[in-house]
Amino acid sequence: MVATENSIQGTETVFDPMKAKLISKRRRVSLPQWAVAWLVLIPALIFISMFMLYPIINTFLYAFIQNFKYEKGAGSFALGQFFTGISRGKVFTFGLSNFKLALSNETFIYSIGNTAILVIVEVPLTITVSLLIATFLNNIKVLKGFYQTIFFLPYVTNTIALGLIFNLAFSYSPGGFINVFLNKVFGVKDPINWLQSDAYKPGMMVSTKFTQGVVIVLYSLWNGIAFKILVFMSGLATIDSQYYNAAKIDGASNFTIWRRITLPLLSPQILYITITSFIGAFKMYTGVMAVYQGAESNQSYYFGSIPELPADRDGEAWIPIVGWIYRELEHNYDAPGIASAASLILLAIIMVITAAQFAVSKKRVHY
Amino acid sequence: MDVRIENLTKTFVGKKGVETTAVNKMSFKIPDGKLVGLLGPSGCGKSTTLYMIAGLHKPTDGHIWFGDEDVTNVPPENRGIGLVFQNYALYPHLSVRQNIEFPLDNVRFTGRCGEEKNRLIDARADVKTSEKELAKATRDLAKAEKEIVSFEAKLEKAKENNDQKAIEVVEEKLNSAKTRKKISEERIPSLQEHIEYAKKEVEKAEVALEKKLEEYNKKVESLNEEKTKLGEMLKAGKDEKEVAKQRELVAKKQTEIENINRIKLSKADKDAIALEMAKVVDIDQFLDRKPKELSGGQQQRVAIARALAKRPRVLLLDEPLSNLDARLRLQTREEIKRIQRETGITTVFVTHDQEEAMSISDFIVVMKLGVIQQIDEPQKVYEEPANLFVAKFLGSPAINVFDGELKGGKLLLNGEEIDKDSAYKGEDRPVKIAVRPESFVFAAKGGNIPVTVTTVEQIGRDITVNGYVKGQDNHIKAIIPSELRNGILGKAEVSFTAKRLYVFEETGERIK
Amino acid sequence: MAEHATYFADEKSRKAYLAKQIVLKVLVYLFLTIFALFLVAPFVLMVVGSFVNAENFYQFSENADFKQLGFQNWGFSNYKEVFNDTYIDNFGNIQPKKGNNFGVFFLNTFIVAIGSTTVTVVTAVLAAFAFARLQFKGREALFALLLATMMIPGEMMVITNFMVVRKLQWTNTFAALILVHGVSVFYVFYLRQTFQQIPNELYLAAKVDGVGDLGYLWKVMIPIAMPTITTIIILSMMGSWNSYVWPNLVASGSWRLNSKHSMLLVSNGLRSLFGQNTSGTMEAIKIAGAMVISLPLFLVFIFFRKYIMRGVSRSGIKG
Repeated sequence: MVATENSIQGTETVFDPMKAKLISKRRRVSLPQWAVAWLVLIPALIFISMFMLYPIINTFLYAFIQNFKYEKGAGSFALGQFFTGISRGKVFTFGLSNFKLALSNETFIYSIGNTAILVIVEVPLTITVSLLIATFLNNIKVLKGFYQTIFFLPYVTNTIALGLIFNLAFSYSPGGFINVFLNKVFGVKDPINWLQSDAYKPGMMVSTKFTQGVVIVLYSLWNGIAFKILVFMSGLATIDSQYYNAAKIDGASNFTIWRRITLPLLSPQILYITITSFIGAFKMYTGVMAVYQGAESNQSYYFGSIPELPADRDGEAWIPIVGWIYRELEHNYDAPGIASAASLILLAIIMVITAAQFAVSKKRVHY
Repeated sequence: MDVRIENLTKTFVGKKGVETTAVNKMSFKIPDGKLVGLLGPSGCGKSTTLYMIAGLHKPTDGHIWFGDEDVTNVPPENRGIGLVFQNYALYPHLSVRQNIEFPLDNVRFTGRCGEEKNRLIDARADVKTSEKELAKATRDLAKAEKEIVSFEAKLEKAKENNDQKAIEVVEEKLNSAKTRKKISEERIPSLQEHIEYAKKEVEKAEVALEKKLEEYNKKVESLNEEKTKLGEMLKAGKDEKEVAKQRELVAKKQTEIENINRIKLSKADKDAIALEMAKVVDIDQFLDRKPKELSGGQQQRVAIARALAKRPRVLLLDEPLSNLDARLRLQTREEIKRIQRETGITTVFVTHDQEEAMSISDFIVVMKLGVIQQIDEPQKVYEEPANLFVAKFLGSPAINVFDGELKGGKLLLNGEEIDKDSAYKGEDRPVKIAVRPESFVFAAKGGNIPVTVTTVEQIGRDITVNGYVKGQDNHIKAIIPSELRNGILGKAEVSFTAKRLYVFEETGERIK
Repeated sequence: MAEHATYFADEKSRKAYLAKQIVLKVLVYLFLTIFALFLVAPFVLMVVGSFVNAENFYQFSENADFKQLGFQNWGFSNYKEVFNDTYIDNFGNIQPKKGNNFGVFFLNTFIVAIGSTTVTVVTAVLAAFAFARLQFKGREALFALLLATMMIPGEMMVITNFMVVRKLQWTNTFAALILVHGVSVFYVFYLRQTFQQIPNELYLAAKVDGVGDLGYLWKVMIPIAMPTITTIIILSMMGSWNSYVWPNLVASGSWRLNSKHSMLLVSNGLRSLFGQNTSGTMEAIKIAGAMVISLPLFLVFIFFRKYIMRGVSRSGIKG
């Protein structure tokens, strides 16, 4: 058979990937990097501008536009209403009328007082307890992990569920958990009415603002220590044990070491926790509301009844600032104005306190 | 595939417009299949050069050719290079096998004429980019010229007002505009030249593509011929054996065409390639492990396998041994040399360790501050350094340098003639004399280099004599074979001659 | 305090020192145990209260008779009551729950959790990718702006968001619950940090291997950052599970598309069904309700403890 030209020139019947040539796939035209970046940021930017940036601006508008009324048409968009209003010849004046309205509202002022008391009591207490627990945890070896897990539990609990449990635990009946505890352990005879406004039995005590306050503070303490302990512990872990060794050699007692070495070295974390705790405490709402099991008509905004309050202000015993704002928002049709003004007042309070803390921190925080 | 670099330049513009030239008009050629080391101290531009060959940095000026293809404007994934990083850069979430197969996902077989098509696309793109650049350079030139006119006018005014501050500011701006004008003026003709060249490349590529297509079509024709022949044979009822033979022929040709058209890599293909590469670098027993389970040397080899997987034309390594401990370094050095020999791929690697470069390279390119100092075989670079820098950089311990002078055609050190055998031309001038430590010869008497000894180290095979020569600032090191130690130990002054010395101008060039 | 060897002058001072150490250790453990008990107490109450039959528990709370809590009175009846269709109102009458049952609450919360987490994770991954790996004009400025929004209290934004939701007729829809809190800048920040820790050489290696920016994100960055992404998923789901305030404002009625379907989420549902109920016989059932919604969280905690704790300490947020 005559060998054809082609049959000599290597007819490959078996394909060998090692011998075959490789070239790169050509990509279709790719976008320049900045185009990809902006493209990819679109979802985030949409959400942030619609639900974060715009609301911030809008809140200022609501607060400062006098006599803002919720109208149809451009509706909730204050900007829209602003512009269409102007085109219709309506004059918008900027002024502090909303602020005046808010500050003249008795309940609002009352809520500021409530919040202040809660903050002053709860925050230092919680921070101190967390700091002590963190310090002690740092010093033990046996069962350390076990205790750590327990102290982290509050982080994964549901506020409302927990509030319900606290409510039941502090119930006025003799079988209420706390009352039983006080009875058996401390020998307290009569059950204490912590939260309810009506007497269990005639002649029995009725809950006072103080007893309700105790429950709220304990609830916040329970909820608040998990995160703080975690932060303090991670801060403590970064402190080199060399410092402790050196101090021991210098003959310092444990307490001195704690006061003059541990605390200063931990001061950045303490500052962070202090600032965030104060801010968080001023915004307290769910933490107050959850321990009360509200009246049927007012389940989200019931904050306790006390005899001192008149009937039309029932349920406002421990109303916090944010609670007042939300209540106004939901129940008052013309709310946006004063609600926004109130929130700005809250913001101002927070900023002042935070600034003050920063000023103090300059001298006492060591990095 | 040989690699040719011409006038390669890379300038970085830092903050406030400060320009640093990392690589300055480098030109050299790497022959096919050789292992070349780029050697130099840190900051000499060797890594920048490597990255430009890879395509990760775009050169400010100059060209790079792989073979006869200009790849200067081709993105890295299309150049056919493999790059091994200093810290391996293995994908930690993939197994070794997956790491090696990773580049194969973006690669395919050539198919009918994939290579030629790519070449054409690249050439056309080159023309386009160059034309764009030419337009930009022209615009820049016009802009700079306008600015010069306006600044000069401002300068006049400032001088009239005798405003010292303004004068300074405007002068600075004027100078920068002038520099920019100059740069643009220089670029424009070179760009135009390149465009002409690039257009010719396009033509060449088109021709090559046509040719390849023709070849393919011929094959298809021949297949069809054979098929018809088979059909006729069947009709004519030819002999069984002959029909079978024809069938076989047709089948063979059919498969050949299919193989030519094959584009996609199947999983089996990828696994086969990965296994092969793993065997080459001797890592095939770890294919299913993750990088963090391997030692540094093993990870290095995986990185090499990954670079080789797509059978690149050029293999690039960036300081491949710096991350390894001393013992592994020697071992891996040999591995790299072996792998390069086996695969025959043109390889360029970057290092600052002269011993490394010397031991495995076929050629060394010595660089300093972006400029090539010398390109030669290792032994030649060592024995015939082109300048003082190269002499000092290679060799461990370093070469000893003295201040001497040429007077009346004689080479003098501290007034004494030390090289009677050579005649030195040129006027009298101070020179640098360099002697390698191993070039010192111990002369019991009559040596012309007197050395005051500070310490003597015995390291088994040799003795290192540390001392200094009178009248010279530097300490010197001399390495003498151990057998001669008796004449040296305990002596405060010894005398040497130089078996071999180098003479350099004050500026550094070698005097022969 | 580090361990170290101490030397003493004599046996007496050594004993005194040891005694002091022991006393200190005892005090420390005592302190910790007291607070640990304080923390564990509510859970004890939950377990006991939810399993003891409602009647018995009521008797106990009336007169502190511990015998009522005996194991013979334990069972699952409270849980059955939680999930069935009726409840006992304040006057002792049986009332239907009218579409308000925990099955619905769970379903709603799952939908919101999954939807909101998906939105959050996708936007966070893309945004963190842009800020960590891509160069573009205004990158630093934009990121600074994002950081600034982190510091504004959410309460200020709620007012406008509430009005917007009303205007868009999104009350009692899933859109309002999922989309409005779709982006958390914390997660973008946290994930960006993780992305930035991926070495640059990996990007260059992938480039040489033929992978572009988006391909790099999908094939390399996301797999490597998976632990962080998992943490974000878990924290986000937990956050949705525990949310109360916002759903309370915008979704406290029945679904816009089907009025038989209540929109309440798990926390809101608990409060709505049992919150204002003061009849004593419902106490145990209420506790069972609380237990039911706490259990999933507890399970997540057991299985994903490491992820949660790591995420919390790194970024300092709660859901």
